[in-house]
This record gives sequence, C-alpha cells and structure tokens, in this order.
Amino acid sequence: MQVVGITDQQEVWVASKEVKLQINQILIIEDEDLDNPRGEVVCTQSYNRYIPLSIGQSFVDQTVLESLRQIGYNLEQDEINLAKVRLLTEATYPIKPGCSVRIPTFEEVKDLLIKSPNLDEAMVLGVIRGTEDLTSSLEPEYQGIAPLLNNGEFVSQKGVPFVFDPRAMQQYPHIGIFGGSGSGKSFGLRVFLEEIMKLGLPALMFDPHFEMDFSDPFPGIPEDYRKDFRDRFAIFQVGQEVGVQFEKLGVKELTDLLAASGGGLSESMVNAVETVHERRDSFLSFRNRLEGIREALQMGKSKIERVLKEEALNRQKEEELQQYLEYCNKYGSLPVSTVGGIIWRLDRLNRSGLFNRNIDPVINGLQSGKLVVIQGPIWLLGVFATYVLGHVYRKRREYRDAQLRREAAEYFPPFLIVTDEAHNFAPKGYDSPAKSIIREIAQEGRKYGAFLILATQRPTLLDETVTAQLNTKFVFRTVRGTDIATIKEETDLRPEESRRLPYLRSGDAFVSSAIFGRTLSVRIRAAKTTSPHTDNPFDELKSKRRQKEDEFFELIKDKLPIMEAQALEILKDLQTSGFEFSLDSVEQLLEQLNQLVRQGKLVKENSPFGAVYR
Amino acid sequence: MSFIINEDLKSQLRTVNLQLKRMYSSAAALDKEKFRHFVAEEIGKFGRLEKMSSKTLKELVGGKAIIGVDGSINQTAGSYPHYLAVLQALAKSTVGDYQVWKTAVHVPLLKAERERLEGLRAGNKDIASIFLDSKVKDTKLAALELAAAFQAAREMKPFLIMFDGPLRRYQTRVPEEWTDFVQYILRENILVVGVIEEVGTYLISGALKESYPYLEGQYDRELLFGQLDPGEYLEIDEEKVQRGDLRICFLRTSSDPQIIGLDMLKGQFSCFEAVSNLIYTLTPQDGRGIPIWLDLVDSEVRITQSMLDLLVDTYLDPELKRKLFAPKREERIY
Ligand SMILES: Nc1ncnc2c1ncn2[C@@H]1O[C@H](COP(=O)(O)OP(=O)(O)OP(=O)(O)O)[C@@H](O)[C@H]1O
Ligand SMILES: [Mg+2]
Repeated sequence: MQVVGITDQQEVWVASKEVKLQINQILIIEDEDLDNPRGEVVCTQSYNRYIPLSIGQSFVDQTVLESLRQIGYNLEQDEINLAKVRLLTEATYPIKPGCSVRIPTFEEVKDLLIKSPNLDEAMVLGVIRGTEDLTSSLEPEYQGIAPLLNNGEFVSQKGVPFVFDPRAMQQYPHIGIFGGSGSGKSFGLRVFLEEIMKLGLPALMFDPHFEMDFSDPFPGIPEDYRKDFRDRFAIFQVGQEVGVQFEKLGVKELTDLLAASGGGLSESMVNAVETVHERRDSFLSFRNRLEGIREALQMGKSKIERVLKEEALNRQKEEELQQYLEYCNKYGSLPVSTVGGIIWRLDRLNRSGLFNRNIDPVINGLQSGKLVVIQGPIWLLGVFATYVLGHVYRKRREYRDAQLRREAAEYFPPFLIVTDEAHNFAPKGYDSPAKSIIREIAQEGRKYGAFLILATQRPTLLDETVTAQLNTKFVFRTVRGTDIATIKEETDLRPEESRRLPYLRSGDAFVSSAIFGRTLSVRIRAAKTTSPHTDNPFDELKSKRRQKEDEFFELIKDKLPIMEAQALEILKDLQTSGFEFSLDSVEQLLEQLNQLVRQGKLVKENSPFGAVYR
Repeated sequence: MSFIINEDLKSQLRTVNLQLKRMYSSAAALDKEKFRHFVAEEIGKFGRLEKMSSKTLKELVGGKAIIGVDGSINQTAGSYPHYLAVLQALAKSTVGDYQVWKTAVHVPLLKAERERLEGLRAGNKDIASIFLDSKVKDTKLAALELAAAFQAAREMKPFLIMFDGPLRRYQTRVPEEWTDFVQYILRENILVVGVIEEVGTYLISGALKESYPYLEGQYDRELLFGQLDPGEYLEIDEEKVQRGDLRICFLRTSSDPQIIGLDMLKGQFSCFEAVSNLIYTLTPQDGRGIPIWLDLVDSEVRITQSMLDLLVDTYLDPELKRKLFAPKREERIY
C-alpha cells in the first residue's frame, strides 16, 4: 500500500493491490518526517485498468479473456483499491507521495478506539467497523465479547469492540439514538439496557411499544453468551401495577395530567383546576366537587334560591342545594363547558386505572439498582412519565443538595432515563407535559447524576434544547431528507458519512460523540434477549382473522341452513350475542358466509328464494 | 508558431515521397504468389497457427505460470546529462498474483556514470555522448529485465517466460547473465520466447540479395507486410539464416497486416508449435498482434510522466532540482 497522487496536509489517496480497504479503517502512513501520522479511510474506490476491455489500442475479445482465465489469470481480479484517507490530525506539511502505508496493530490505535479504562465498568455495545484487520493483535480481554448478528445468524466478533463508559457521561451527558423505521433503534436500546442491567445501573425505561422484556433468550444464542436478566428488571404497566396517588398531586401536576389525557388544556380550564382543586383532595372529593359545580352552574343561582325557598325538601336535598349555592357564589364565573371538559378528562384518566396505584414499585426498583420498564399507551405514558420523572428527579436532587449542605438525607441513587419515541415526550414546537422535566434533566441532570437515553425516528421533531444536550448520538439508517439535514447539523458526521445514511444496514450506526472526538462507525452487537412479540405483523393478522372466522362459524352453525332473505334477522341475533367482528351490514354478513364457502366449510346453493347456505 | 510554410520545405517533402515510392514499388510489384514461392524456396516455410481450445490450453500449461517480462524508462525533461531516468522492469505471473519488480535510477551526472561512459567511448571522440548514454541505459534496463525474469523463473518454475522484445538484446547487452539464465532455463525445462512487435531484421532481403538485389536494405516487416494471412507464419530455416543459438519466425497473429516476430532458443525450437499457438490464442483478434499478457505487463510497468515529476519533486531538494534538472526550456516564454 502506498500514497499516490497529489497530497495535502489533510488528505491523501492510498492505493493498494493486496488489501481491500474499508471505510473507517485506520491506517498508518509511514512518513517519518511527520512522525508516521494516522489517518482514517473516508471513501473507497476500486478500479480495473483493463476494464472496459480496451488495452492500448486493442479491443479484447471474450475468447482471449477466457484463454487468460484458463492459464490462471482472471482479469476482473486485477483491480486496484483506492482509498481517500483523512489524517486524524492535520500535518504540518503535505505527506510525501509514494510513501508506504500499513495497517496498524491494535496497540497503535487503541487510544482512538477505546476510551474506557476499565472494561468491567463499561458497556459493550458492538464492534467498530473497519477494525477487522486489528482482530489478531487484539488483547484477549477485548476478544469474543461482542458477537454480531448477520442475517439472523450469530457470528463471532471480528474487530475492536465498541465500549462505552457510562462514567464519561459525567462530563459528556446524555445519548440520542436516531434512525428510521426498522433501522435498529429498538434493537440498539435493548443492547443498551442489557448492558445497563449487567452493570447494575438503576434505570427507568418508558416503553410505548410493550417490547422491552428481557426474559426470553435470543433464539439461537450460543450457550456461553447467554445471560439471565430476570432478576435485574421489573416491568410495570401504568394503571395496573403503578399509578399516581391523587392525594399527592400538586395543582401543576394535575393540570399536566389532565392536559395529557385530552390533547391540551385551555387557559380557562387551567384556571378552573387551579381554583377548584384543594390540597389533599382525593380523586373522589375533587370529582364530586366538580360534578356539584357543574350541576350548580347548570341550574343557576336564581333557580337554586327559588327551589330552596318554595319547595319542601328533605334535609339531604336541602344541604345539597345549599352547597350548590355556595359553589355558585364561589365559582360562578366558570363556564359550564369548561367544568364539563375537566370532568371528561379526569374520567378518562381514572378509567385508565392511573389513580388506583402509586409509584412505590418504581422507587423500590430504582433503589435496588434495577431496570424499571414502564409500559402503557403513549398518551398515558407521557402523563405518567411527567409525574414519575418529576418525583424521582426531585428525590435525587434533594439527596445531592442535602449532601452538599452536609445534611442527612435519604439516599436516592443516580439513574438513567431511557425512552423510545422520545419526540412524543419532548416535542419541538408545542408543549407536552413531560417536556419541561426532560428539558430540565437535559440541562442540569449531569450535576445530579440523571442521564437521558432518548431514541426517536424523527430527530427533527425532538425539542432543540434537548437535542443540543445529547453529547453522544447514535445515528442509524435515515432516509428522510429533513432528518438527514437535522443530523448533519447536530452531529459531526462528514458529508461522505451523511451520504451513506440512507444505505446503512439495520444495526449499523455512526456514533458521533464528544467522548471520542470523532465519528465512529459501529455495528451493534447481537442482543442476548428478545422481545416477546417479534412475530411478523401479517402472520399475526392472519391468525387473528382465522380465529374470528372460527368464532363466527361456531355462532352460525346451529342456524344452518341460512337463506339469504334471513340475513338481516341473523345479523341482529349476532349483534346481541356480542360478537365483535365488525358486521354492520347484511353485505358484510354475506361476505363472511361466502368466505366460509371458499374455505369449504359451507356450501352455497341457488334456490328460487335466493342463495341458501348449508 | 510559424504558419507560413516555405516553398522549399514543400518541394523537399515531395521529393522524399517520390524516392520512397520508387524504392518500395519494386517490392509491392512482387506478386504475392511469386513472392511466397521464392521465400519458401530460399529461406523457410509457411505454416498455419491454430487457436487452442480452453481444454488444450489448460492441459498444455498444466497449472504452471506464464511470466510476462517488460521494462520501462521514464525521464525528466532535461537533456543529457541534466536529467534523471527511472528504469523499471516487471516480471508478472498469470497465477498466484506473483510479480517481481526491479528498479534503478539512472543519473548521468554522477561521477561513476561519466566514467562508465568514457570507458565505452574508449577514446573515440567521434561517438556522441548522448548515443553512448542511451546504450548504457538500455544495458541497465536489459539487466533489470533479465534479473526480474531470472528471479521469477527460480521462484515460480513457470511453463513459459515471455519477453517483450527480441532475445538477441539480452544476448548482446548482458551476455554473461544471459548465459547463466539460458543454462538454468534449459535445465529446468522452462520455455522462453521473445515477442517482437517491431521486427528490426532484414533476413529476407539479406538471404535473397543474390537473386533479388533490388530488395536490398528492406526490413522483413516491410516485405512481409500484408503477405501473410491472419493465423499464418513463416518459419526461417536455421541452415539458411544463421542466428547463433536463437531462431526467429514471423507470425501474423491478428487482423493487422503487420507481422510480429518470435525469438526462441534453438534448443527449445521443437516446442515452436505449442508456443506459437499459445501466443496466437492469447492475442486479441482485432489488436496489434501482441499477446494480451504482454500488453498487461507493459501497461503495468509504466509510470506516468506526472507521477515521475511528482516523485522527483518530493524526494529531491528544490534547489538541486532547479539547478541540475530543470530544463531551461521550461522557463522559456513562447
Ligand atoms: N444490531 C443488529 N444486528 C442484527 N440485526 C439487527 C440489528 N439491529 C436491528 N436488526 C434487525 O432489524 C430489525 C429492525 O430493528 P428495530 O426493531 O430495532 O428497528 P427500529 O429502528 O426500532 O424501527 P421502528 O422505528 O420501526 O421501531 C430487527 O428486528 C432485526 O432483525
Ligand atoms: Mg423500534
């Protein structure tokens, strides 16, 4: 390998016949006057002088090529690999053309690739691409720790592992994980979480896809690579195992919750909640008060007074009306519709079960160094995240502050916050409940030991303040132009690299990190566990449909034979029987019957009275 | 630049044309049949080449290598002795991605070179230095080529070594090395052939000068131009034309009417048929008659002028370069 062509202080071209050069590979350029600088391959080409098949002035016919092949020479092999190599640090003057270039040993480039002094305390996330040639000189402790998954098969680690030291986040906090659909974000998050569990770091994962379960080993995983995480994590569903205690809600939290449950809260609703809510309100006391206010406002002050004066009332009724009167005096300025809107939102929250539980399981999980996975539909998760994050962050902050003041305080550990679909939690351009707490953690979390790992398909939609604080970014395959533009702006990806973004394989990512000071190309390692539902969604659809059809067949079985004319009657029967197949019309019912005919379960005959199904 | 072409120049060119025409029309007047007839009678015999099938080819070579050998000279722009030349020789194998490079830098300014030149001159003041220098260069290059070939022969034990150019050149330029090489080759049963694109012999006119004096001085390539059919060869009788331990043949290997020459060792001439058919098979139909392998080696052994300039710029001090190797001409403004 040697330097060819015109050189300058930043870049050289390297030509090689023996070695195929790879993008991101590090090479040593043996220019002694410049202390043998190191460079990284940023683009590769290969070319064959003889193809197209014109050599000198002669055009080469196929038979001659075939003859060449017979004597052992394949023209197509005779290619020259060219690589543009960018020097890692600018040279003081141009590199000598013609000087030789070689592949380094691991030792010679270790400082560029490994930034964590202690492998036991670091996350092993994958393999650095372009380092395959260093495998043989790799120190044993770095070998065989990051197998890869290629086309569903485990393959042993070739190259230098990509290890990430969570301690480095003290200086360079927070991680972003960007990439389009199917690019490997969730898979990458899983690997991250496995490493978090391995290290016993307390972490909170908000999982809108119900996919972060670590109980099942990855199919086909080699025995020695397996790891049982079952006592390292806990999964809670919002409204089932965890929720918020209404009594402990402040007004701010309550308005946030209500806003999240119904697409925002108007100024007057916020105002209404602030006036109506009282400290230590239980769900019922608050709900009853609102209901009473609504009744009162609907009746109107004068009507209440008239009834009180003119009608003979039992005591209970009279007390109620007195109460209404008081409401009218106190809350007379609130519009009825506003109060109605609040009640509607409150009921929606209540139906989710949110108020029946508390966050104790979450606190306990974090305290014991576990990964706590919180699952729920995205809207509810946003609400809950707001509440729970505010809570745990405050706990941690109080502990740290007390420590600084040398006061005694209950210990609360540092923790990581991980979420997929992060743009829903902290969207750009509009408000969302979780946004302010996430922003706060993004800006100040480092001081207290609270760190974010945020994954999103749409970096463009993520709040800029938050994005700006993500000191390490994993960028997976991205196709959308606006997102590529955002990524270019927010990372130090070079033009050659951003051009490759749409073509990355699932699981390949560029890591742009202040910790490494340059972009690395990484393949995320094979996960040790798998999500409980990696079924193909179409297979799932098919089996669901089958199931419904069987159910349908069971229901109509005793009604056979069915005449077309009876269809309406049967439809009514089915609807009262609670069958949930959307059969809204006679046409749909008949189509369903025809489907069974196609499957051979029924026979359709024509009669003078229309079709008959038997 | 001058755009006015003076009358004298025009008329001189016309005269040259006339002279050349007169000289060559006698040969052209030779009827093809007649010419072939007395060539066959006096000097050799015609034969036909055959393209080999893949199978025959494979069997013949038997998995062994074919080595192509070629050299190149690149030099900086100045004139003797203010220039520097890079001589390179390459022996490249068809199998095993094997090649041998031999390189030398020729600097006529150096004392040793001057002395060598004077040695060659042997006091004869009439011989131009520039002529002697080019001889030195060619001798050096021939030595490099032969060394590359020898190394490849030892390391690869090839089936055939194919030189670009006549074997005679090595014999005369580097006789001792050549003798060693030939000994080794014959012992190890390695075939050797020189493929001559620009045949510089006048064997035919020489052999026929008694009967056809007017052909005198004409090169074989001129006489044979268009006289052979594609795939035809003319084997020169070793009795009638003595060429030491070498034998030569003329071949028309492509649609180009120009012939090429093949040099072989006398001791290996029994393999002529195999070697010539092999070469014919490896030659593109519409090319200039040279087997593709030599074309590949040829294009590989060359470096471009700009590459040479770049290398010189990088490795030589700018002062030295300016003082010794920058041609005055480059600074001239036209
Ligand atoms: N590191 C990897 N190694 C091997 N295969 C991978 C890797 N990462 C992802 N894949 C493959 O790509 C598929 C899709 O990845 P993943 O589910 O992580 O995409 P995603 O980015 O989360 O997409 P979405 O935004 O649609 O959720 C995985 O099911 C897996 O087959
Ligand atoms: Mg996903």
